[in-house]
Amino acid sequence: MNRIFALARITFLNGLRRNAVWGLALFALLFEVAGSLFMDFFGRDLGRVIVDFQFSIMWLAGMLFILFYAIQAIAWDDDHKAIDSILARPISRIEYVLGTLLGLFILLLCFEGLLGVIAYAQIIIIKPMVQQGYFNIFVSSHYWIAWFALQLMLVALLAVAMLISSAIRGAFPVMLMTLAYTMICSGLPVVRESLQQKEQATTQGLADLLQAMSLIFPDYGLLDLKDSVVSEESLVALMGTPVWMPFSLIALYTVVVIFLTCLIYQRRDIL
Amino acid sequence: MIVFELVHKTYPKQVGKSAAKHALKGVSFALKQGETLGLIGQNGAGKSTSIRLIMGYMTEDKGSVSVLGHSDASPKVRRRIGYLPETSSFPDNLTCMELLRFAGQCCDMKKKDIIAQSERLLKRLGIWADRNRRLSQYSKGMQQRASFAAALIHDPELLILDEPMSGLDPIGRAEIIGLIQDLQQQGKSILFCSHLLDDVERITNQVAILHKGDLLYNGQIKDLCAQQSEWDIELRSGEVMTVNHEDAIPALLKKHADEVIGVGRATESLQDAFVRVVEGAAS
Repeated sequence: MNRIFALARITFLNGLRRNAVWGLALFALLFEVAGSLFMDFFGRDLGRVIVDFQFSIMWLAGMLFILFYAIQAIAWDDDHKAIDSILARPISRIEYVLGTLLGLFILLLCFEGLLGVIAYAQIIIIKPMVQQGYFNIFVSSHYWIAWFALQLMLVALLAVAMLISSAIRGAFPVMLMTLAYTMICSGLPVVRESLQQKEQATTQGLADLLQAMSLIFPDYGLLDLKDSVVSEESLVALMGTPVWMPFSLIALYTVVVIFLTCLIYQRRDIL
Repeated sequence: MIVFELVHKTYPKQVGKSAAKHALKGVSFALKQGETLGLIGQNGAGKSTSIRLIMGYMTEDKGSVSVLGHSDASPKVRRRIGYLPETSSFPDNLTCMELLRFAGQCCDMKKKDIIAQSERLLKRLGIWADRNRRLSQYSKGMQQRASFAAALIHDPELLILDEPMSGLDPIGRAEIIGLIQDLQQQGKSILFCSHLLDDVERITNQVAILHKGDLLYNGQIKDLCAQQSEWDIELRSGEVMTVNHEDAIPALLKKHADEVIGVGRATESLQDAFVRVVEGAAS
């Protein structure tokens, strides 16, 4: 554990001092704050619009962090032979994967935490400024559960990016593959839904195939809980399943992905 | 400490890139405790592949590699190894002290030991004053020294140095050579690669020559460098006088009686011997 934390610490510190990360954080904050200036354009359901906007910014900023910083950082180790210098220490490949992921995750969490707190503060400030009919419900606990669900999604994507980079060299191909993975994950539920509406026997095989594919490309939409933030309904009623289920499934999926990443790193030659 | 026995390694063909490459073709050599072995060869000779096999970054296809009595360089074994990679590349927004703290923590060293050892090494390597500057602001030579300090912080018994003099100016080179000689006196076993054959001669008397994956020579430098017909007369000033005939020696000895410190058969330099062996293999 000592070595995992030591590696996580240097990964975190190195990222914290990158101008690119600060630039991304600054832009995300600017967008968050600037968003509230446009709220007058939306006459109805203002609360939902603001919450949607803030969560979209957090999701987008998290994705940009993964695609343009985390993947670069992982590939940089390989491309610049920094992995040689790190593995020259008594660090196993498994510790390398876990330490790097932990460092990047803590950095992502700090980044998203900052955005989450600013967004929360903004909503709290804006709500009393708006007439009751336009923004009458805001559930703080749901806000933080939705924020936590978003972080779980991003961690799963970070783990997938690390898995892809364990098998493919170079930041750009890894970035493209991760992007393709994300698009398949968000597109698959739409295809499945449209197929269900057809109700033809011939499409049963395809439906089964799509169902099986969702084991590899999970539906992250299950963890999209931003609607619950401005709703009085309970989470169970909104999600249609026990709350713990999608959280556990994505957490289990992430553990399996990390396990596979460790397995590949353990066996591959470091050229 | 290190035993290579008939080791073969082939890099697989890369899609759209190079063909499969047989990097090592049945290479055998050994490094005993307290010895220093220089691994020399042209680019692509197989030196780095050998080092990567020793460090456990890749596995051999055939043959066996044993390091400190173990067949694989597990983290437990690497705790006893100090490795200086050819390219010193660390996350470059770290400071030198953070790098050394990381290296020490990985070896379960106590914080006060890490600080004491860091101070001793960085002062010895001349970068103590720059310890809190980011590595990205270091020159290549300074990065090499920082990397050297990271390799030595846990006082390893086996040192693997890949081009330790790379990027250093003449003074830096002399300092590193001095440090390596100190480590030799402490009884450390050292395996190192270098293109600078003058430096190799100053550090060790034992070399292994690799060429396109084949081991061409493994043994003492003095046995490799052929004796010439000329004689060398070494003077106190460092000057060496070369005479073609043995008969001329007494007259010269008489003339420079107070200055002569040695007379011996002239021998080929390591550089010349290396070229001869490699060209012989090529033809």
